[in-house]
Amino acid sequence: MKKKLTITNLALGNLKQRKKQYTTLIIGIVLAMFFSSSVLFFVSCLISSNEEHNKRTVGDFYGYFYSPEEFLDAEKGKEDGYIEQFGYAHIVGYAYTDEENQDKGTPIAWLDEDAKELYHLYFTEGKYPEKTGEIAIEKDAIIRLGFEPALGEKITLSVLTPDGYDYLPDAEEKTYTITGILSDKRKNIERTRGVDGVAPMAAAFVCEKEEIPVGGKENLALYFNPTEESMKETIDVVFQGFEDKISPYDKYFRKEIYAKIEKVTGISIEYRNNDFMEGISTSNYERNESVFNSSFLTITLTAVLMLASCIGIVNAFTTNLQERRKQIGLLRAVGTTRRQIINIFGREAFIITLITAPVCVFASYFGVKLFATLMGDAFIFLPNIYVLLGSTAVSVICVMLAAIIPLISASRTSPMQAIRNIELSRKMTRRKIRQQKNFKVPSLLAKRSLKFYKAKQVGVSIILTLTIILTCFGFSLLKAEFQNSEWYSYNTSDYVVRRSGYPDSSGYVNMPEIDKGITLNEVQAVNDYPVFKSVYGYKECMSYIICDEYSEYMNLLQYTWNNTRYQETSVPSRTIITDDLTSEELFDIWFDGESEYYKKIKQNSGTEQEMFQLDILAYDPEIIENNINKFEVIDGKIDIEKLNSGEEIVLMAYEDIGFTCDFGKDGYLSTYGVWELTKENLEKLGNEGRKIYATATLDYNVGDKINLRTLYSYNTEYNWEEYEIPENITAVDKEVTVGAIIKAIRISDNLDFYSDMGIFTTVSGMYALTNHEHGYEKLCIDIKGENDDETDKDATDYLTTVFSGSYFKPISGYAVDKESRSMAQILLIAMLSVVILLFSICASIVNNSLTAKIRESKKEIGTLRAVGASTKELTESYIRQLISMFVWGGSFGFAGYIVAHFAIKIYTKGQSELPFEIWQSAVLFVLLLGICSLNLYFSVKKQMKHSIVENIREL
Amino acid sequence: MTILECKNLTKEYLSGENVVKAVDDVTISFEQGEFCAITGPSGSGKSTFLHVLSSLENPTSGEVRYGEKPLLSYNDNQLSILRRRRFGFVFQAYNLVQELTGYENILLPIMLDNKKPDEEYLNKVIDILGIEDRLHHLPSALSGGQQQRIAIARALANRPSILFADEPTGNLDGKSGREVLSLLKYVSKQLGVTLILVTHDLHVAEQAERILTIEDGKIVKDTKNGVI
Repeated sequence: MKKKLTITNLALGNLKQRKKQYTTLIIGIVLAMFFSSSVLFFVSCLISSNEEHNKRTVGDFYGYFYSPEEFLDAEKGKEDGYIEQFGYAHIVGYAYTDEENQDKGTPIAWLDEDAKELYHLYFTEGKYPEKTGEIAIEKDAIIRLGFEPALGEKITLSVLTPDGYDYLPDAEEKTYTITGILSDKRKNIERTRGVDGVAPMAAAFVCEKEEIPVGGKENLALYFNPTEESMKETIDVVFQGFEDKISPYDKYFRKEIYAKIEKVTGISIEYRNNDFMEGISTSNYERNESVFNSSFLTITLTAVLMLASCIGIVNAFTTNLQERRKQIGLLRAVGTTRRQIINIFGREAFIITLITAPVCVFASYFGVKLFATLMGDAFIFLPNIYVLLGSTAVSVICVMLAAIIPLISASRTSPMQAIRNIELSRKMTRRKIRQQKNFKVPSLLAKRSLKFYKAKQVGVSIILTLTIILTCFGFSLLKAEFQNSEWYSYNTSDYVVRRSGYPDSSGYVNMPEIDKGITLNEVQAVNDYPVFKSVYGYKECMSYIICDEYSEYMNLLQYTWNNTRYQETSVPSRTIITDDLTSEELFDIWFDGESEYYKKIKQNSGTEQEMFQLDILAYDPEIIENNINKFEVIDGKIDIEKLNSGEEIVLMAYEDIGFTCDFGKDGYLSTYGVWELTKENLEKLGNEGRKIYATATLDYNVGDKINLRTLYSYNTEYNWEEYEIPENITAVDKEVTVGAIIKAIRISDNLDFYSDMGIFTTVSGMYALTNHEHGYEKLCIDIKGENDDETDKDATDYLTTVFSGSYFKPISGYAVDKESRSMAQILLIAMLSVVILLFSICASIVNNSLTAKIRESKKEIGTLRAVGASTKELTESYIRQLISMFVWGGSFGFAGYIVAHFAIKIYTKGQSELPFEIWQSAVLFVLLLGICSLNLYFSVKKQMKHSIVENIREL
Repeated sequence: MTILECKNLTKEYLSGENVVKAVDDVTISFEQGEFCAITGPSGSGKSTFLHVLSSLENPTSGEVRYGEKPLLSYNDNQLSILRRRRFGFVFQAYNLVQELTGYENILLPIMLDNKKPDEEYLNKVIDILGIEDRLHHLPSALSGGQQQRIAIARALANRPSILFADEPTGNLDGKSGREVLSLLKYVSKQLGVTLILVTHDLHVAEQAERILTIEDGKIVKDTKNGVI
C-alpha cells in the first residue's frame, strides 16, 4: 500500500534521502539541545545545592523553641494556619564527659518523624540508632566530648536526667555505641551556647526506646516552619507573651530577622525563652558562595555554548536549505505557500529534534550529574519531573527558534529559483564591483566570494570574535583562581582563631566572668604545642571617655552603631527627613532624649559627668613593631614604651566627619552613616546626590589629656531584667595622654580595625589602663616549617580541642587554600572542556560554512578545472576566504579582549586582579586555523577526485 | 599534421548493475586546423568521446595522444597546464564563473598561467565576437548568446591548439546558434585552431570539413569534405 503524501512523510523521505547533508545539522541540533537542557539542569542543581546546603548546615526549619509547651500550642498553630510543619525533639538527657567540661556536652534526644525531616539529619557515616544504647552524634559534638568520631566506638558519658524543663543535678554513667556520625548542624545554628552547663540544642540522637531514669521527665524542643503566607504574622503570634521580655531589643532584632527572612531562605532563627538569635555561621555562608560562584560560572559558559550551538543550527540549516533552493523554488512554482514551505522543511528539523530529544536530555542529565559528583559533596542534583520536562521543552524551543530564521529566509525563495539561480543574480546585480585587468585568480575569486557572501563571513567572524573573547577571559579567570591564594592574600599567619559567637553579656559594661575571650591558658596551650612556632593576637574591651559635655564630634557619632547615649525615635520617614533640615533639627527628629540605659549606667557607675563609649584595642607589641609603617598616622608618634606603661594612648579617629542618609523606594530610611570627609568621599557622595546633614571636626590633639573610665561587672550571669546594666559596677579611672592620632589600622591577618573612634594601645598598655587581664579577641598562629596534610590535621584537631565549647573557632589557611586549589583544578578541567567544545563548535561552523560553499560550487570548480586551474589554485582561493574570516574574527576578538580587559581595570580603578592572558587563546586560534585549512584542503581534494565532467554535471 | 589522436579508446560507465560502453574501442586522429563535427543520436557517446579526448575524463582503456605524448603520462598539474595553454573549451551551458565579469572570465586561463594578456590579440577576438560592450558585466546580466560568446573568447584567450565545443548552440535560439557557429568557424579558421565540435544537429555538422558519426560508442562514419 502506498504511503499517504503528508508533510511528515515528505519530511521523513527527505531525511532518508539526504542523510549525509543532514549530519552537520543533526550535530548542531544535538549540541544545542544538550546545552540548552544543561542550562536548566545547572540552574536546578544550583537551587537544590543551595537548599540542600542549608538543610545540611542549619536544617529545614525556621524556628526552634526550647520547652515550647509553656507558650505555644503548635497543633493549634497548625490548625489556625500559622504553622506549616512542626516536630519535637524529646530530650532524654544531657551528656558530658567530666564536671570541668560540662559545658562542652550536648543534650541527647530522640526525634519524631517530623522533627527528623525538619532537622534534616545528614549522616556522613552510619545510620540512626535502632536500639537502646546506640547513639548518632554530630562530628563537632564528638570532638567536644573528647572522642574520635568513629563508627562502632563505645563511649561512656555522664548523663544528667531531664526534669521537664531543666536537668536534675545528679548524673549517671551510660555507655553508648556510635552508629552514625552526622554533619555539624548545632554549632552552625546556635554557635555553641553554654548556660548553667546546659546547651539547648541536641547534637546527639538516640532511638525512642531510650528510657529516662525514674523521677525524670523528658524536655521538649520544637522545630517548626511557619506557613509561607503568614510568616511575619506567625512570628508575631508565636512570640506573643514574650513581647515584654524582648521589647528592649525587639526592634533591632526583629528588623534584622524580618529583613533576612524576606531576602534569604534557609536562615534559621533560634528562640529560646528570652534569648534570641539567628543561626548561620560565616563559614557556611562563604561555602555557599563558592557553590553559587562555580554554578554561576558553569551556567554562564553553558549558556554561551547553547548560544553558539544555536548559531551552529542557523548556519547548518541555512546551508542545508541553500543547497535545496532549486527544490524549494520548484515547490513554490507548483503553488506551495510560504507557510507550507516553513511547515515542510521545519518539520524536518522538528523530527530530528524529537528523535534526538530524549538522548540529548538524558545525556545532559548525566553530564550535570557527573559534574555535580566531580564537584564534590556540596553539589546536589535532584531534578524532578518538571525540571526534566522543562529542560526538554526548553531545548526543543531553542532548536525550533534557531531553525525558524533560515526557514523564513527559505520561504521567501522565488519560484524562478527552480529555473535559475536568481538569488545569486540579484545579489550580484546589487553589489558593485571593480573589474580587474590583471589579477591572481585565487585572490580575485576569494575576494569576490567574500563580497557576494558577506553575511556568512560576518556570521563566522562574530563567532570567532566571541570565542576568542570568552576563551581569553576564561584563561584569565583560571589563572587568577590559581594565582591567588585565598588565604594568604588576606593573612600572613597559618592559622587564625576568631570569634564565632558571643555570650549574653552587657553592651555597656565589661563582664569578664561571662565573656572571657581567648584565655591565657588557651594561648599557653597553643604555645606549648610543638607544631606551632609563634602565637600573637589582639585584645578588645569597652571603655568610656569622661567629659563635661559631648562635643559636636561625639554627638555626630551617636548616629552610628556607637550610640549609647540617645534614645532613637522610630525610623524617620522621607516625609520627615528633608534636604533642608539643619543639623539641630535632624538631631531632634532622630533622637528622643537620653536613653534609660545611659541614665542607668551613669547612675550605677556613680558619675554625674557625661560618658562617651569607645573600644580599646590592644595588640601584641611585636605586631605593632612589624607593621609600624602601616599605621596611617595623622599626628604625633607611636611610642611603644609609653603605650606599655599606660602613660599614652593612640587615638583612632577621622579628622573630619559628616553624617548622611538616604531612603528606599518605600520612603523609609535605607542607609545612613558617618563618613570621613576626604576629597574622594565628598566626590562620591556628591555623585550619588547624597546630602551631608551634619559635619564635625575632631577636637582632640596630640598631648591632650583624656579621662578614661572602664566599667566591670563580675556577675557570672547576665540578667535582662536589669536592662542590661548590672547593679554592681566597678569603675577603673585613668588619665592618659594622646600620644598620636591615627586613621585606621590596616594590618594583614584580618587584624584591620575600622572604627569611627577608638583607643589603640599595646596588650601591656591595656592592662595598665584597665587593671584587668582581658582575653584575646583573635589569635594568629604560625607553624614550624612547611604545612602538609598530616601537620594540618594534627594542628586543626589540636586547636579544635583547645577551643571546643568556647566562642572561638580555629581556621586553617592550609585547608582553605587546599579547598580552593581543588576547586580551581576542577574548574581547570571544566574550563578546558568548555574551551575545546567552544572551539570545536567554532571549527564546525567555519568548516560547515566553507565546505558547504565548496559543495555548492562544484560546477564552478569543474569550470575552473576545465580552463586549467589546479588543486593549488582552488585550495588557495578557499584558504584565502578562511584567512579573511580569521583575520576579521581574530582582530575583533583579541582587540575586544584587550579593550574589555583594560576597561575593567579602569572601571575597578586598578583593583581587578584578572591577569592579562592572551597567548593560550592565540595558540588555540592558530591551531583552529590550521585544522580548518587542512579540512578545506581535503574538501577541495575530494572534489578533485571526481572528473571535471562529474563536477560540471552534478549541478 | 596530426595534432590529436586516440588508439583503442574505450570509456565504460556503470549504469545500475550494467556496464555501458559510451566509447567503444575508437581509433582516430585529428589534423591541425581542421574543423571536425562529431554527431550522432542522443546517448550515442559523442559528448563522452569529446570529454575523454579533451582530458576532462579519463578513458577506461586505450590512449589519447596530444602531439607525440600520451595524455595518461601527464600528472594532474601538467594536465591543468595543458588545458590552460593548449586546449579551449566551450560548453552547452556556457560555464562562466559567476563572480567574475565577462572580461575577467576571458582572462582566466591567461591569469592562471601568470602571463601578461596579449591585448591586441584579445581585442581582435573580442572584436570578432562582438562583445566589447558586455565585457564589464557579470554573467548573470548577460543573455545566453552573449554568455556563449564570452565562453568562446575565454576558450580562445590563450591561443589554444584545439578548441573543444560540446553542443555550443544547444541552449541558444536558431539565430544566436547560427551566429555562434559562424563565429566558431570563422575564428578557428582565422586563428588556425583545430575545432572539434559535438552536435546532434545535422545542419550544424554539415558546416564542418569533417564529420564523425557515432553510434553506440563506435565511429560508424568518417566523412571528409563530403567524402566518406
